[in-house]
Amino acid sequence: MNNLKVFPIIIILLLLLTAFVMPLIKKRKGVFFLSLTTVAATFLLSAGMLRTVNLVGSYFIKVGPYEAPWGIAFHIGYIEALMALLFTGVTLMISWYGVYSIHKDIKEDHIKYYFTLVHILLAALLGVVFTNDLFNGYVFIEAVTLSSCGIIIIKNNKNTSKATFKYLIMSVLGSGLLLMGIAFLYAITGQLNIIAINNELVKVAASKQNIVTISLSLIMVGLGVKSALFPLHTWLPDAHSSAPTTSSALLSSLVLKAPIVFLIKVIYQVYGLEVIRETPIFSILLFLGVAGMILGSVFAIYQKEIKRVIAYSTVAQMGYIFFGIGLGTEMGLMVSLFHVFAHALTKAMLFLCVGSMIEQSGYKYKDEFRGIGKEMPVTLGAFTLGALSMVGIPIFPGFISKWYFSIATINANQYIFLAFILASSLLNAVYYFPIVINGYFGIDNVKGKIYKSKYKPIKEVLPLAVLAIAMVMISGYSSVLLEFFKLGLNIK
Amino acid sequence: MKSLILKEVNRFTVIIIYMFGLYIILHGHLSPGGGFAGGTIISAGLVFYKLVYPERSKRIINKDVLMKSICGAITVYGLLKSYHILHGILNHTAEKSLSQVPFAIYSAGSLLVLNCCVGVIVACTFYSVATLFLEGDL
Amino acid sequence: MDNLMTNYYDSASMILFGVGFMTLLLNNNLIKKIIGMNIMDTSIFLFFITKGYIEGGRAPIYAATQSQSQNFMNPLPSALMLTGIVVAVSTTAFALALTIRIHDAYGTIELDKVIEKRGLQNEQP
Repeated sequence: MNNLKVFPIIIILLLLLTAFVMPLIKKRKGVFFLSLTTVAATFLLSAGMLRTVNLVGSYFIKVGPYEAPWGIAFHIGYIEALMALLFTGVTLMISWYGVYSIHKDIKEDHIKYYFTLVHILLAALLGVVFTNDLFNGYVFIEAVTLSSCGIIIIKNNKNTSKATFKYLIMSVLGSGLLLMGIAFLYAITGQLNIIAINNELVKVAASKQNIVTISLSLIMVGLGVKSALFPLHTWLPDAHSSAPTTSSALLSSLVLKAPIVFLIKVIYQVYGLEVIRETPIFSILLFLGVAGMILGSVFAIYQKEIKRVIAYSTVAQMGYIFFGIGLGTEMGLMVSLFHVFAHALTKAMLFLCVGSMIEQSGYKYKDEFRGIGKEMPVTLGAFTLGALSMVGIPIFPGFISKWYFSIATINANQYIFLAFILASSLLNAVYYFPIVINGYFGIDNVKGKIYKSKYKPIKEVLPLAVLAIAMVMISGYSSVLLEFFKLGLNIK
Repeated sequence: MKSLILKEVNRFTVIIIYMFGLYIILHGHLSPGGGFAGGTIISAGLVFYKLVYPERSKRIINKDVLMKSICGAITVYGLLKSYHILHGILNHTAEKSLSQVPFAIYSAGSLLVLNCCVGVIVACTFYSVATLFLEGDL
Repeated sequence: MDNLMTNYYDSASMILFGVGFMTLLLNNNLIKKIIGMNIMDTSIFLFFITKGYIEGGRAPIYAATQSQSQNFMNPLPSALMLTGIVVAVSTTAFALALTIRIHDAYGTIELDKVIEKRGLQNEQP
């Protein structure tokens, strides 16, 4: 059984080792083959990890020969195993789609560097999720920032240069604040391991109330910049809309989620909910989350490019997740983690659909996609399923997460926010449904325009179909997932 | 750059810079320094050589050599570190090093090889960044 | 006020953090933003490393000619901050390369002029 516990380390090391072999491979097909087999292998290993956690319960691994306070430890429980499964699965689907379409966005000899960056990004994301040590989490978050800037700027034009610079500067701001928060925690407890900090903080928290508030707010703002908390989201529309298609899908679905998982671990396992309820931080998060939910959708209505519409929709969905954290109960955290799952699958599928529609037709503005359903029915069908999930129609995971958010709101006695959840669903419908309806039933005004053949072969549409099936399966297994998340939050 | 002073100073001091950087890398486990600091010093020596003889250094250290040395050094570092991490998890004890004489160069196990790999990576990376800024392309 | 004077390491690091943060936010020139980022990161390293100070200790390095058991300072924060310094240097190098790209694309490195040129091209918010 000890041999089965090392799977997380093998996943990260395998991804990093193959990342740096790829610049030496000369043929394009060799790069594709290596990348797809590696990510598929990590997907199988993370399924094995989930099975081990099912059999044994959560466990700790030490990275290297030194024990926990002097070395780094990884903690593997239900949350980490499920998040690893989600990240590797979504990356597998996006890379599979990218094999057929990446050469339309970037130059031929930069493709091998692109897959190097994707591997480093995935390894760093998994490191953020697995780690049990605060400073190790900071280092992996910096690696996520640098490699995600890399996958935007690899398509070299004016839009991406400015968008990447904005993203880099705001991310560095966030990392500086995060490190300052960690430094304050180290100053009062003297430890950096999450379990050890919790043990010390319980003794010290009553006398040093100010430092607890200061460090928690610094960490909150720092991680909030990286995951698009409402007023700090301004880097997001430029970065996600000017990047190549597969990069947009990776950024929107995965890169925004790893800092949130880290934040949930810090809130629940370092501080504990009782310590934070004495500070006003949860009310601020609640208010900012609701503002993000409403105003993200309101901004999306006024956008004209279709990729910016979906980027602002991401801001709105991250508002849901911060609303769930700000409720301050354990059920709120569980539902936020479930919404992380649902949103990752749905948004990846939406961005891949939109990307294939843009590259096959050459248009960029959402008014020009009338009648595209006649040429690309399967792609627009997948977009419709994603849009229905975002609005909150039953049998899709969006409905399940809104239902459980409402139950968590009622349990926490904040009845007024039910109206905001309902209003946000209606606002989502206002900008998604016109695209779908115009796509299928709109009159295609193409007199005098030159037709490109818009039909995509079956093997390029298959990743979208797999993501759609996974989405529906998630909503079927939702109660099992919520039970797993509840078991995973308690590690003592 | 075509200055005569630079050329004459280069003849005498660039070798000393390389030796100093190599000394800092090799004694990384005994005194402050290690791979990062030593690699930076070696890259400073390489950039100095490039400023005086631009065509010769472009012929000797071209993009192929840089890419291969960076990828090779990272792969060696990765394999060695993976062995140590997995051995440490599965066997619960730290490994003994090759020789037990303190303050000698061989006394810290595989730290010597790791420091050398990090030195190569840092030197090549800083040299390529300086070349990108000076000439616009590798 | 007494506390601020006794722990002058912490006060100095907080002042530097504020200076770096404001430089990062308020300047228009891209190079000055990068300098502000460096000052901010350096102040955090200063704060962290001084947490390892122990009264009457010496540098935590064994030397061949002195006895082995002495009062050493805590080496853990220094070792951690080495990693942090490497991260800060990599981010600075990346940001400087991006500045060169922006200069090639727009012809200027003042951020308000870049936003003007982008605003003239785009017709949407």
